[in-house]
Amino acid sequence: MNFNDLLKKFYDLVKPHLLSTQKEAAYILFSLIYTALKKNERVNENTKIIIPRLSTIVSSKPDDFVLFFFEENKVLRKLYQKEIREKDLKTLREEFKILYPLIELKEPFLCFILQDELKEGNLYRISKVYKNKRKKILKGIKKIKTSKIKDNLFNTINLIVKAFAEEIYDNKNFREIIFEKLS
Amino acid sequence: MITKISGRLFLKNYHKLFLLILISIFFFSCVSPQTRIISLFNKAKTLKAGGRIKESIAYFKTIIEEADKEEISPFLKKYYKALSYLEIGEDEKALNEIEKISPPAVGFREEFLLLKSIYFLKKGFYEISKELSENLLKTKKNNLKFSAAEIYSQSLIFLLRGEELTEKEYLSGIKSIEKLTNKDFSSPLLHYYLFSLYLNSKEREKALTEAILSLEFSIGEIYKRDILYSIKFILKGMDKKLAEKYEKILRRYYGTGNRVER
Repeated sequence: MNFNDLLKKFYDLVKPHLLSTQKEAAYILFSLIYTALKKNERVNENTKIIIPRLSTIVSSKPDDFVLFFFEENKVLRKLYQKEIREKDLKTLREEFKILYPLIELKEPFLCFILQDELKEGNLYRISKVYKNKRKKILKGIKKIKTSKIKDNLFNTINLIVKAFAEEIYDNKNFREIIFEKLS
Repeated sequence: MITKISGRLFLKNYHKLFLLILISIFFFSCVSPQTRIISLFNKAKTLKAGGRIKESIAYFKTIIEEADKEEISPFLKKYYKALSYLEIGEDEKALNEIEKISPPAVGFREEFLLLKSIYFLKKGFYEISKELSENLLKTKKNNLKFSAAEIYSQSLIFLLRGEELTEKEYLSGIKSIEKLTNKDFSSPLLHYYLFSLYLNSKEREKALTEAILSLEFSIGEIYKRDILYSIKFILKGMDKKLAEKYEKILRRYYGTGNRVER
């Protein structure tokens, strides 16, 4: 079975049981693949989903750096003009935690989950958007783990991972292909 | 009057209170040993914060006495014992517990806890972490994701962001990381941590040198992007000629990628 057939099989399995939208299916599949590739192992119902750890990189930046990041980016400068003017570092730091890894570090998990927002420049108070999406994804994965179709589903996911075993997880095409095939 | 009313209320509701105690006993007998130690520790901290020092000390002592009897990982036993010793002011005993942690047994989760425990060791922080780092470096195994020196550097960065360091402590911290970096010179992460610390202390040229070394020793892709972006920040405030010189050196590390429109 080739990669396209596997993706179709995944979506056919997921659709009637768990999810309302194709995008959510793509997010869930991506989260599971990301985890499998990071852990370098097969995923199953006991697998704990990996959420990127970037705390050292993000939290070690001085205040000047955070301000520079918002001022230097045309889109962000406009969106956060009030916070920049008032030097509201509490809010800016909160958003920086998501925006810096998303825009500059190109963290694959964040880039995939927030790709629509990134494309449209819809980045104001992004941390709240991310939290909501993450919550939905984790809820969907929990449903998969307890569903009757889980064995079949995890087998399919592991076959998809295997098909991509030689690809690098942050390969741009990889992200696009998954999203395209499931949209 | 108030005493009288509360007395009556107590008598009226004593059966409810009894029920509550029964439920609590049932609950505590059901929780796992690990959860029990953690809740004892949290309870002790709350009492201490509320000024009920004697009661809190009693709880901390219970943890110290009972941690070894509980069926929890050896690491957690030492970890909570060390924290409890610290809380009751017996620092030497706390350091002793931390020193006993066996490096080869350290895994991913434990690395994080170890990091936190170093963070908690404010007193004697430098001595213990230096010693710990050096010991761990000797026994460094391939399955460790970070070397101890890297863990130590991370702790320092956490402390720095918590603004708990005086300038003297901070500079002494940087010096000890420099020493560790010389021992493990090819570690791109150590150069990255030095770079981060210099960036915070506004020592721009030193930060750039460490950034180049980190890139040279092939640091991971995400760290690389962070370094390259940080360099933009550093060069902005630099003398133009010097900035050009660094730009030239760094050009070979730059790549292309999709960006939000600027």
